[in-house]
Amino acid sequence: MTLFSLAWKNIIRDTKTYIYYFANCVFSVFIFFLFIALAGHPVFKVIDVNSAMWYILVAAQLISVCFSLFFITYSVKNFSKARGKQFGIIVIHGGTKKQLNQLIFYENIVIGLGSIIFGILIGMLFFKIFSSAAERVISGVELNFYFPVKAIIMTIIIMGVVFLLISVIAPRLIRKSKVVQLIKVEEMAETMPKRIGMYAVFVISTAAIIVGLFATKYEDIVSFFLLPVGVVAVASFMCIVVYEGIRFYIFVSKSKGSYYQGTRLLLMSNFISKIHSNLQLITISAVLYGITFLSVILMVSSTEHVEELVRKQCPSAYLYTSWDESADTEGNVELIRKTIQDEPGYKEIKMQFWTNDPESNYGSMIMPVSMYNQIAQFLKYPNVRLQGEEALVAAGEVKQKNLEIPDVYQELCGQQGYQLKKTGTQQNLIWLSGYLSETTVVSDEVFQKIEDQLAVKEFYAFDVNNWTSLKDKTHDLYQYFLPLRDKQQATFISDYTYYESDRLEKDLILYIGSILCFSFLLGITSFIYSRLYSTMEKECNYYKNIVKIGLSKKELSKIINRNIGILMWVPFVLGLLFLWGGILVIDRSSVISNLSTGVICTVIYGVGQALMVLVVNKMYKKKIMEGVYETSI
Amino acid sequence: MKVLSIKGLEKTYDGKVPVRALRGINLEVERGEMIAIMGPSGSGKSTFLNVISTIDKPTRGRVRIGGKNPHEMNDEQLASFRRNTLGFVFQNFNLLPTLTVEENIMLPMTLEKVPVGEMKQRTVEIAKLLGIGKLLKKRTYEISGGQAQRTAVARAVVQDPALLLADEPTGNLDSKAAKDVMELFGMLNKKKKTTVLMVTHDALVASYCQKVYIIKDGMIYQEIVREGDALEFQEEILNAMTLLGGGRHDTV
Repeated sequence: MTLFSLAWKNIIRDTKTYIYYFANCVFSVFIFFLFIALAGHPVFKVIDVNSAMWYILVAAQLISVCFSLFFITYSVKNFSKARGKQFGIIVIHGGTKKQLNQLIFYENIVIGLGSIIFGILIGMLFFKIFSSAAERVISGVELNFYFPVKAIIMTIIIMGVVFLLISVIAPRLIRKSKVVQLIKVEEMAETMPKRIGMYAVFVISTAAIIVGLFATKYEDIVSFFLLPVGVVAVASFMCIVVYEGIRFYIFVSKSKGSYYQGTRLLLMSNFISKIHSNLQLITISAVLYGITFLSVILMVSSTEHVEELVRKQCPSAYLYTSWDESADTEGNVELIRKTIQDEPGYKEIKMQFWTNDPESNYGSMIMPVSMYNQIAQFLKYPNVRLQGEEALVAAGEVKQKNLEIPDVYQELCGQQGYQLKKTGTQQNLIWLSGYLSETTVVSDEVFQKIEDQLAVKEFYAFDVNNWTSLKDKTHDLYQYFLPLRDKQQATFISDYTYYESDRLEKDLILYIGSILCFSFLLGITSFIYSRLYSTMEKECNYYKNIVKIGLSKKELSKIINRNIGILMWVPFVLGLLFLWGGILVIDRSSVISNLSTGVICTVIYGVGQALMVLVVNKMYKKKIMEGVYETSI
Repeated sequence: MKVLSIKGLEKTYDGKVPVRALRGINLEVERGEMIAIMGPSGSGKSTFLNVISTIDKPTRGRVRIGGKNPHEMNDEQLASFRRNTLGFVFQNFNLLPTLTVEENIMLPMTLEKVPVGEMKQRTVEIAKLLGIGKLLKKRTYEISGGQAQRTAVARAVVQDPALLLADEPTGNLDSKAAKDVMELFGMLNKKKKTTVLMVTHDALVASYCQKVYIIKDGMIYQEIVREGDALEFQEEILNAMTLLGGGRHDTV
């Protein structure tokens, strides 16, 4: 018998112990394979390497690998912990650290190889189903079946490296100095975590975020690290909240005496005896819940509001302006008119903007209120009344801050004896976001005095009701105007172009994000399962002894209900807090509001979680009762 | 020749209130002796065994087994020491459930990288000697407690250790199985001159040994040497335990 055959026998002859860990590994490979097979589909070959779509596909694979690494390492850590006694037996009979490392390495490599094979096979089986789902979610994409040779090779290589890493890390997760002592005791008692550690992590990570937010000079580097550091800060905060909450509860109930009444003593002492694993479980679950909940809401919300978002950024379906005198403005406008004039709700407007810089087609603009009101009518904004020195500043881009009258126009008007006073601002855009800076609207009286010192720029806007379905007409117009844009003669902008690419991006994010969120939720289920079922035998023995000294079935049921309640509701509620904190922060800078989607999703999450708690509680209680009373219930 | 030599052995467990489990034990065991360690609950006998068996480290004092101090060894040396010089039998057998009886016995030889042919030969020999030759292909859940303990004993002695340590070896067995296991120890001690040191609560089990050391409050309280037959020896042990201050409930 060799160490490898010992490892092999351990796996083959104790499938009940290894199957859960194996299932986690297969699932991780399966998810990664799905992403890489999708990314490698011939239909995505046309994607630019530096485009948002490409980044989304790469990010999905990266997140999948990182999550797999974390998920499997956590599983293997718990799994190794449960086998401590076996390792102790090997050590006391003369196994060296190296031999123990080798044994664990072999086991993980065997499981890793098996997972890769099964993960790919299952991935191939389900790829067609997931491709069909992707076609439904990602509008305008046809994912015909293809044999993903490259995806198979990449999965074998990348997940192979992951499992190799885990096989090397796994032995280091076991404290060998303590392993030999596990022969004498069933398990090492969990010590209370050091508060200073938790607080230190929280303070350092929060400080790093604050410093990062002010370090605008290194924005690119900082933004890369902000998210993971943010997750660490939030996780440590949750850990502190739960830990201090428990300590506070015990302190209060002990001082009142209620700690010693009923089943509280049993519940809390049992919870504290596993404080380390419980805290770990609650914190990881809370973070995953929070990320999943927030991601789902943002993805659903942005997919639902693509049209609205596009219109907020570009308020008319089609925009045209000539940049150069050589452009055939009339002919170009006539072409656009002829192409779409028969569409329902067709309307057009010729907008005039004035600027002090005749060479520029961009920058700060000014216009009389009569022109503004024409545009307002076209765009269905409220009309504005301006008299004398009153002025309105209209934003040039979405959520533009600090809208003020530019100095150049203040001086221009000042030369005519007018001191402009800003009486209001308008956040709704009148042209494509970011194309122009702010537009100052003044009274007709003031404008007449300064008009001869300004150069006029003409912009044409067209609108139809059904712009989201004019793919072919828009495409034809775009192809016609592309050479003119390249020659810097004119520009043609369509809502449909932005809508199409935004739609595709958000649908892709929705599809990929849903799978990732599902993985995270499955990860939470796996962690809870691991925590409950790996200690089930010990819990049964524990309660069996207490039943002998007078614990009733009803009281035992109460303890189980409360234990499951703490383990499942606490991280859920913390996750919801994270979710709502995130929504409130994001809504401040977001074009669309996520509040309504947030409320609906919170209700759905709550109902789903309540069902899950009911099911888990029922199943777990049944097993415990059977184990304690050794009868089928 | 001294197999085990202990001088001034002390063990203190640190904590809010430090606990002195062993307060200076001196003991010597000659080759071929069979020794029992007894004492009331909390006397320190399990701690004593843990320190000798290298599961725990002493706070002070010296332990020499086969002329070597295991607590001064590095990991590689200690592992080799455990494989070749010590054998350990536990109360709850501690067999690996994923291995057969044969493979459990082979475990120390696997770790020592003994050639496969020699491994199998020695396994068959020791299994025959201990009366479990027909159980080699069985899994651990297919055998009785007595058979499991015999397997554990076979695993412990297959490498011919200088010292065989046993922690309540009959604790989980019925009286017949316990008697069988003690006769096994006796046979190994006589035939192979295996030096045995066991911890036990059971005066009957202790009566199979040549000497009994009674530990009280972390120190050797009394040494009883067998002079007559087993029954007289057992009575003498029971009287000593009664005088110790515990009732007969502290011994079986």
